[in-house]
Amino acid sequence: MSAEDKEQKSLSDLLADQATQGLSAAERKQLDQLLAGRPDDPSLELTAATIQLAEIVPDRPLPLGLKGKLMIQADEFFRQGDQTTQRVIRDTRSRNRLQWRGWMGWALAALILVAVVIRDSQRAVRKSTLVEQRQALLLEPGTQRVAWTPTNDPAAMGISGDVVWNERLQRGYMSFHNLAENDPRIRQYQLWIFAENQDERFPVDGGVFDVPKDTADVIVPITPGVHVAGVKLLAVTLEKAGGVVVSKRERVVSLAKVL
Amino acid sequence: MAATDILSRVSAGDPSALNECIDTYGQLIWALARRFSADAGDAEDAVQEIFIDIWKNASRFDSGRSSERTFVGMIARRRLIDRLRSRTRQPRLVELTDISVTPSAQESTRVERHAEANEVLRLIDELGEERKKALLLAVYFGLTHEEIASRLQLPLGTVKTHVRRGLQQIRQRLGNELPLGLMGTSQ
Repeated sequence: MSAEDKEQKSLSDLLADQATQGLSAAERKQLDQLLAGRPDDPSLELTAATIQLAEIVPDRPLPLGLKGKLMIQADEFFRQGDQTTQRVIRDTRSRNRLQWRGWMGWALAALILVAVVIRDSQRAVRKSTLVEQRQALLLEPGTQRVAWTPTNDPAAMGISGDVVWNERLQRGYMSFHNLAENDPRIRQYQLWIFAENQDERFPVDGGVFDVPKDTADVIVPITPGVHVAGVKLLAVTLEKAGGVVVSKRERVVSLAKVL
Repeated sequence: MAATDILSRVSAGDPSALNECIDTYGQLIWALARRFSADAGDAEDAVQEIFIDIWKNASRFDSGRSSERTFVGMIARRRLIDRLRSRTRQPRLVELTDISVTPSAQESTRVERHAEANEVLRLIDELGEERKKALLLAVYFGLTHEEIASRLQLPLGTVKTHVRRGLQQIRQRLGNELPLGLMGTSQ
């Protein structure tokens, strides 16, 4: 066997090991050396994954407490990257060793998250609390989540986010990413709720809100002043400061259709 | 929005994509974690670590190489294998009969399978019996090659060859017959 053939066999063996039993530190170093200058080749790992997925049956939902932790983790990851999230995982892992499960684990993870960000500005503390509230609502039965559909309005350029709404509790949260900042002395965003029990010409006023300067993400509570039954659509418009009683719908920014 | 858009949106910094990732792949990753973990607490820790890995590696997803689901499965397996290696490995109570009952097209209809998944299982069935057992013990249950050699009463070198060639054969046949990572968007 030529030296090149031996090298190729070593590479194949290490890639197969990586895909099945993993590599020791020495084996990893050897693989890195063999791969030097070559493109990364995950094909055997992808093949192993394909084989595994052909037989695994995802027959149980995520435990609610775990899902709550993941959602908090997601928000933390998005805001601050993986370092702080690793701290949250380490903290929650140590609690797991004490066998705290389910909603207790979630609640503690939420408290830990609050403790982590409380060192920051007052605005960050309030935002973390809204994050927790929104996550808590997501875990409630009957809660729906719908992504925003942005319009062609300039304020909507590049936005994303969603609406979380629970009709039984008459509570929800809007979240926006990249919604244009507004000067509340001139214009404010206003939420409108279209519901089965309301005349479509006069949707329920969901209140005004602002996007402060240099704020990429906002979470806004939805607390309609009247009971809304059969919510079918939420719309955000841009109105004069203080909002309006009836919108002319000249600047509709985003829509969310609730099923 | 199609499940295959999720990782590209994660890498683009869309916060709603992170939760969609949890909703779409959470059940699958939970099933994988339970398969490879010592207990429920261990599995929960693994799931959290896996999602971090997915979000960090989202930009590396290449739709030309695999489906998003397969890529997520690969990331999950990497972390789970790594966790297995870092723990003192416990002998697994895996009966060989578990492997001899390879799911096939004639299997009980209690378990729904995509047509594509059946195709993968058919390709596995076409491997020699010894190679199939070695490969499935390695992939399905995460046994080390030494553990497999002990279980099947084979030399370690033979097991390593079976695992390597089995993966290469399946890779080749998947590449020739079907796009790699052919699972649908549903879990």
